Amino acid sequence: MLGPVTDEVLVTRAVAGSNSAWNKLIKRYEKRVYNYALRMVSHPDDAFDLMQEVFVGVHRNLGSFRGDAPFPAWLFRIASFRCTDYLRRRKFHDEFDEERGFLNAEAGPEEQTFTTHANQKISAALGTLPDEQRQVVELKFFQHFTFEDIAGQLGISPNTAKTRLYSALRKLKQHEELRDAL
Amino acid sequence: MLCEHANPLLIDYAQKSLNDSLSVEIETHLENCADCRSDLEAINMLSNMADNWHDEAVPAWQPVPVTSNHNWLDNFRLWFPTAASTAALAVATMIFVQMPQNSGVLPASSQPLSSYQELPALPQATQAAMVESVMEGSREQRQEELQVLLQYLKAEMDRRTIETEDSLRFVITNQLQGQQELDELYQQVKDLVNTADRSPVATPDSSSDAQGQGVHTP
Repeated sequence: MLGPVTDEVLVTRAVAGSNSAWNKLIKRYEKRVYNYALRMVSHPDDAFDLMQEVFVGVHRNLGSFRGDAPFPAWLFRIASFRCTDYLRRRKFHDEFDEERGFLNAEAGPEEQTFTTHANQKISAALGTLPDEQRQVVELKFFQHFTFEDIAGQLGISPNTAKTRLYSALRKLKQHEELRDAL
Repeated sequence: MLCEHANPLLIDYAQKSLNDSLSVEIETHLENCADCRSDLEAINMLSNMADNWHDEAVPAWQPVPVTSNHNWLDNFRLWFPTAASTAALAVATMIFVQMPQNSGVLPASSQPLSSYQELPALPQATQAAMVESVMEGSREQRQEELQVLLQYLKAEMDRRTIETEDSLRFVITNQLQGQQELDELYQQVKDLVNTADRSPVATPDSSSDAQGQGVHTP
């Protein structure tokens, strides 16, 4: 009995020019990447932009995938890089707007962006963390990567990844949003 | 087990990825350490939080294709120039291969190229004479070219000298003419002054002015 086609096979076919394989690969991971982006940037439009940036990056680098690591680890290396870059750019723009008073004071963060109340609360809880801690929490608890994988994806040491995670834990322990989310 | 050893293993413990002996050590430590119990509680809360997340639907989008989708007409347009060039090259090659050797395109030769290797070597003196002859010819040619260049440079210098002299002459002539005009003007003014001194004509206005000022005029 034939099982599902592996990621590696799909990548090989996509590199050879198969649109069908490329689309299957995207369909397999787009929801995971989109929800990752949603938790990281807390806004659907930004998350959608980020997801597209991630797949553009994957498309450009697909030929360099050697299969040394599983495809999801490779994919999230690109996603983490793009996400860090995205958050940095957004921070810069926010600071720029804030300095010049461009921020709309009436636009609150509590927009209806999630389909469930739990998602809203989880996003709010994660939003209290600094970007680098939120990335480690995301990759560890939502993507279930090892600390070695996370270290490779973020370009840090495994110990630094662990330290960031425990710092995030201590911060979240005191946060009521986290308890409300459960 | 101390906190510094137990704490980093709490996530592995919560995910049940430790071996039995380590798990027992962690459990023993947890019984006596409130901080680590609190951390473990936070880890479990985070795990539950991740489990409670409901995936949001992805908005419809069109990924970038890995290759362009051409129909047969596009493919024809894409490949026609290459195919036509290749065919033309193939036909030209076939014509060249089938052409007789003495057709006039290439010089006919009855000897294979390798036969030139069997020619006797020329004596060294002859070779030196040939080299000298070539060098002499080259030297003469260079001298002729230098002569032509020198003649050109000389003619160019003469032409520029004449142009410069003409320009200077024009400037000097203008200056002299200007000076002459100035002299003439000066002379005219001087004559007028002299004439006025010798026969003054008192106008009514000037006499009244002079009288008003108490000056006696002859």
